[in-house]
Amino acid sequence: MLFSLAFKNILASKGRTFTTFILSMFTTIFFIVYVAFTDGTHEQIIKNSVEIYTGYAHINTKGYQEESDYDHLIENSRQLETFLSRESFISQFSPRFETYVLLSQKDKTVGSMLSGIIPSRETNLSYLKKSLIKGSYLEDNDTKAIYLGSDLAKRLSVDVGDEIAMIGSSLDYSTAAELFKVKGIFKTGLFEFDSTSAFANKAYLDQIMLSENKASYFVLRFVDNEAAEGYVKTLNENLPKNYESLSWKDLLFDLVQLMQVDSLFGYISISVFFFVIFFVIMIFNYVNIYTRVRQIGLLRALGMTPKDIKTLLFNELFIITLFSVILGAVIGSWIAYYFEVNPITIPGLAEMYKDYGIVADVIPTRFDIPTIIWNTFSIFVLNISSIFYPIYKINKLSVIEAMRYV
Amino acid sequence: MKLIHISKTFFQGSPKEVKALADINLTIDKGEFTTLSGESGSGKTTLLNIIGGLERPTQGSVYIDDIELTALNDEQMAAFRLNHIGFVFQAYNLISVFNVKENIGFIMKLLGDEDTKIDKRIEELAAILQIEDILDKFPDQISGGQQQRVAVARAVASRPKLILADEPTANLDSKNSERLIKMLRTLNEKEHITVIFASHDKYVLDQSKRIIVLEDGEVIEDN
Repeated sequence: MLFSLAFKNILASKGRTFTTFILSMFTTIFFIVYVAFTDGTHEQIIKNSVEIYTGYAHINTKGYQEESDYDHLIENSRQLETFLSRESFISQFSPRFETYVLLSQKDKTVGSMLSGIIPSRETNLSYLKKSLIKGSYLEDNDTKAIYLGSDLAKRLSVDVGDEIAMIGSSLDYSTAAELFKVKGIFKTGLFEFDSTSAFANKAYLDQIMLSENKASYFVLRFVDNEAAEGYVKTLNENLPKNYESLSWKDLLFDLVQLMQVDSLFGYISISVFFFVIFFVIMIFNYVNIYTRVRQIGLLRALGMTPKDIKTLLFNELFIITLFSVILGAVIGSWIAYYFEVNPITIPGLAEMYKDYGIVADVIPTRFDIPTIIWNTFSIFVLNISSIFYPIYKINKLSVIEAMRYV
Repeated sequence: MKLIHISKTFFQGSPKEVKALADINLTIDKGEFTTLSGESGSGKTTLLNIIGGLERPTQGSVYIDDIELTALNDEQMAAFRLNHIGFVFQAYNLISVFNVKENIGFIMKLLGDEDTKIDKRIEELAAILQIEDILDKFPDQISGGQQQRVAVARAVASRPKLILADEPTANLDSKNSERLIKMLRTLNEKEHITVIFASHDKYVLDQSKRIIVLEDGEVIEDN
């Protein structure tokens, strides 16, 4: 009965129904699309950082993250390889040896992070090979070949085929020096990375740095990278006690936190918008209910209780909001999905936001059904809660006050 | 029904204070066809509202079938009205989004009666009140007289113990007024429903078995 009356009231008050419907629907669409763009961008930034070089997990000796020096290297790389090859959930792994060196060409000297990698194995763990823009990628038997980030090459004013001198410190703290030839230049789009990173074949670099059978850390890829956290936990339970495994969330802790803070500020900004919408709907409901106060007084006189009135008014808004947020969710989802498949391209975007890890001229969008459901539900609850104050006020009136209300 | 020492003061304690009823004591028996009469401002509507639980007295108690109406809370009072009292208002007060049939069956629906029972009762009342032809129409599609008959049908549909009618003929012409009162009288006799009017309509007074006259909030005549 109350539902039927609510439904008839909705149909009878077309203006109110339409306005409430449109407000709720557009709020839902806006929220879904906004979050899809924000999450998409954040996810892309993190994904770029993870997949371009960092990897989904590392294994290093305890203390390496705090002090990444030679005293915290993995001393027996082969032994660890044997251990890792037995873990079925690890699909790829490779050791890396990282050291800080000076690279010099003519009168230019630049500090750089030189990494020794196994080129063939690295192709499955990072985007280094995919990021090649000039020359060629490293090979496992390369000697004296160096692979430079595009901005580093620019800083050194070198091109493919040019020679650069390297001076660093070997593991016994003696001076390590070599003359490398630029074999290839890469560009990942990660500005910091491209301007400081250089790579060499680990087997050769080990000879210069006296780091044979040693590694700074192992980088891992799992059979299911989404489950990286769980695998890392398992690894930490099984690894020899002087080792630790860290997931990308730990490795990119600052970046993850930055994204969370950015999301938080985004949510705060959008909350202001939602509160405006909330109050608009509430005031609208308030005014609307007060235009029907005599009808409500009559219903109470006829025997409907304040609880019945509450249910009636709640049902009315529930029906309108339910349909509007569902429609809003469908439209918002479609927009999010469309832009995930066909992202918006803005030429020059990557250049403008290179410091933030944006590597392509597109605005990525994330179409994620659980997020959409959750956001839709939030809007639904927000809109529904806007009815409680008007209901409270209307039920405070006595029956006669309501019936005589002008 | 017993009204014991009923007083009602509006805006109590403020400069606008108005004493609407002063120490009213009344007993109304089951099946009575009674009218509360008096000039405008005499307190008849206020008294009717207090009897119907729409308003609370400042002092005193109302008993209907040994239930102290004035002691009930809002929810209990609403339930009591729903179960035992039918209202007929001066301004008809039909629910605009419901058609005539739905308006008549509204209270029975609220009471949770079955559709077949409701339909049967609507047919029966429509025949008595001669509104069979307008059952599918909406309030704004029918005349004032028809609306008031629908309001009566709604009031009696659930067979309440008591019908309270506040100036039911005020907006009707004499022909429709007579027709309405006769119908209420028939329902009073056939269904033994107690009917109390608040009215100063001569025809209503002529048809009443008992007339209680109020003046300045006091009963000055009861016969």
